Amino acid sequence: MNDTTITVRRKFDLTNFFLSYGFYILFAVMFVVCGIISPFFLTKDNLMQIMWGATTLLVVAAGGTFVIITGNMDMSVGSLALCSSAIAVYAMNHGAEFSHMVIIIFAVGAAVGAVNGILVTYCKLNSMLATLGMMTLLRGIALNITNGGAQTTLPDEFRMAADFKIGGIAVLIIVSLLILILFQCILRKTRFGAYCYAIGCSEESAKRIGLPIRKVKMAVYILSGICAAFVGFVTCCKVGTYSGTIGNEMEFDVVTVCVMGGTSLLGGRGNIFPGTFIGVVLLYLINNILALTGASPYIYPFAKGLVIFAAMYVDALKNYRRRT
Amino acid sequence: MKNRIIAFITAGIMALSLAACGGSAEENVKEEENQSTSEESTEEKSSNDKITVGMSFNALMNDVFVKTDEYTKQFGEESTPQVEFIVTSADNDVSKQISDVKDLISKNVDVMCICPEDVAATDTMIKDCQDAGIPVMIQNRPYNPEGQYKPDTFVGVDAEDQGYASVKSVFDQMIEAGETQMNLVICSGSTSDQNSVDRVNGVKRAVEEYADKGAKIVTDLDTDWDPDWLEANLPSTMRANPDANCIYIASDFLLPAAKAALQSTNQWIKNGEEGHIWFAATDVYQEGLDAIGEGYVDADSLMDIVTMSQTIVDQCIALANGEDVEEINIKGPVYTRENYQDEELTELLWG
Repeated sequence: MNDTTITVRRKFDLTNFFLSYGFYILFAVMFVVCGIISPFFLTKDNLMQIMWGATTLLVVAAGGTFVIITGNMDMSVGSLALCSSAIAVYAMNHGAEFSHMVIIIFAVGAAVGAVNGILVTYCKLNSMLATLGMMTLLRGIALNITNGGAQTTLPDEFRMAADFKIGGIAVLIIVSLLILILFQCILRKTRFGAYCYAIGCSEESAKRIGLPIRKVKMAVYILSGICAAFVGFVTCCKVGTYSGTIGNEMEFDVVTVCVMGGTSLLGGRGNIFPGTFIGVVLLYLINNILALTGASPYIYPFAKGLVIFAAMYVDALKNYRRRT
Repeated sequence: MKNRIIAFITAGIMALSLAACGGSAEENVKEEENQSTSEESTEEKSSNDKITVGMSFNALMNDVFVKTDEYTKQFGEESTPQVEFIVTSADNDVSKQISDVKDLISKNVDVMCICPEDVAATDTMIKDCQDAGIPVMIQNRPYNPEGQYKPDTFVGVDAEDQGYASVKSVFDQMIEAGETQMNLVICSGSTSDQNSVDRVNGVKRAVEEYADKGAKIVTDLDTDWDPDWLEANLPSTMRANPDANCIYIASDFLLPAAKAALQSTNQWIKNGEEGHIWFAATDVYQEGLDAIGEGYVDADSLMDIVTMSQTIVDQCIALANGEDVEEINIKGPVYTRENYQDEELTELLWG
């Protein structure tokens, strides 16, 4: 019996390489360029400040990554962040204490996530449309119960939570990073994570092999809801007040950073660490360097728009190459 | 079957939420009353007992607009003849606001009053009103000066003067305190909000005027009215520019965020103590007034919504009677530690 070994040498494809790793290269280049532009950029204080700013988006984007990997969308995250805090403020005005407010924020997040999950899995609504409807609905509820989103000063405990540090690092940064690592482990090391990828790759095939599609989808929407509520909580902690601008346009930022980090809008592909993490940091890095260099305010939306466009274009190119 | 039951339950939850969103039963009754009074107002027009005004807001998610809504309704009830407002909110959506204005036209209002979301879109709304023979007022935010159609009047606050007056007051205080450098960090609102742009233009005018005395702009941060954004980016800006000794915020709405940011850099220091950052603001919310009293904010220019709302009501009556009215830009006073408790000024507060 003859053993024959066939060696297949894969040809190095430069386009593929740039499509897969171009984003990380861009991040590294931007990091260096920013360091050259502003000597203050690479200081410890500034890097901490970038992380501090990113804490809100990091967690909600991690939850969003799960949803997108299953081939769905959650456009209600920004409004959910607002609504959960608004309901907590409403409760505060009716005598609720800090601990009750925190419980309310997360309970609302989980409940709305569950409703989103029901709409998408059991009622078979298109995830984009269902959550867009929820987005409008939640903002309406929030504005209604807080008299048009009037600014409200919150109990001191919120600010104290933001100021609390361990080893000189804000506890909110540590918690966000721990959540990120935990989510990455769930995504990569557990059966649930594998199911998410499988459903995103082909829901039909996942159904045929008997995967619990409904349960998985419900779980990812509840997870995304809780993460959105976390944003509401963190924003309230950072500023110490509630305002009607919490979570404004956050849903678009979530989609942007996920796609920037390599998560496919078609589902089945992506990761939280380093993908989504670097996507979020890059977005805040752009804001940071524009602020540091005193760039014209008119440049901000242009720079952000350019990054979003580039991310979407690269994602479209990747999907096209996969299909062909 | 199971799916249908779940669908019904979900639809029920959505319906309940929508009902909650729609406000209390009392408000619904009020709305119905409004609608019925709008029908009745056609009959009442001949007797000039009541004037119906269609009030289209860009959004009712900010204290400024909410208070304008409250004051105009209050002054409208107190005026002779009475003015009744049918209010719509476009939720920051230009196309919804155009549609809102069309709805109000179909309700046959006597006067249309618009607070536009987008200056560029005022042309369409003004044309629709004028085609229907309804006099139109633009309030609070300016209309398109280069547009083909002009409103019958404009009532607003002089946003440029707000920025100018607040910063000028702080510069004067700084000079008096012996400061030779006035390095200003501007925290602007949004580049798409004309009032915010005008305020910053006013600030720039003040800086130009005081340039020979050491005034200069260090940087201009575009917050897009997002306190979270300001809280995240102001500390880095302050650390990167250690010579910055003066800040302007385009509204007291951003004050809690600016305070949190300066606390994190240990620069939230009272006037008279070493390391105080001179602070100019606009709008005079309660937080701003408290901060003036405590010594953290040095000047705060008022957005005089009370006077603006009264002027809106007065001009609506004049327009309904077919009179010509002049455009008005209301200048607000500047509150400082010396005058913030004056009775005359406290009467104008609304925040």
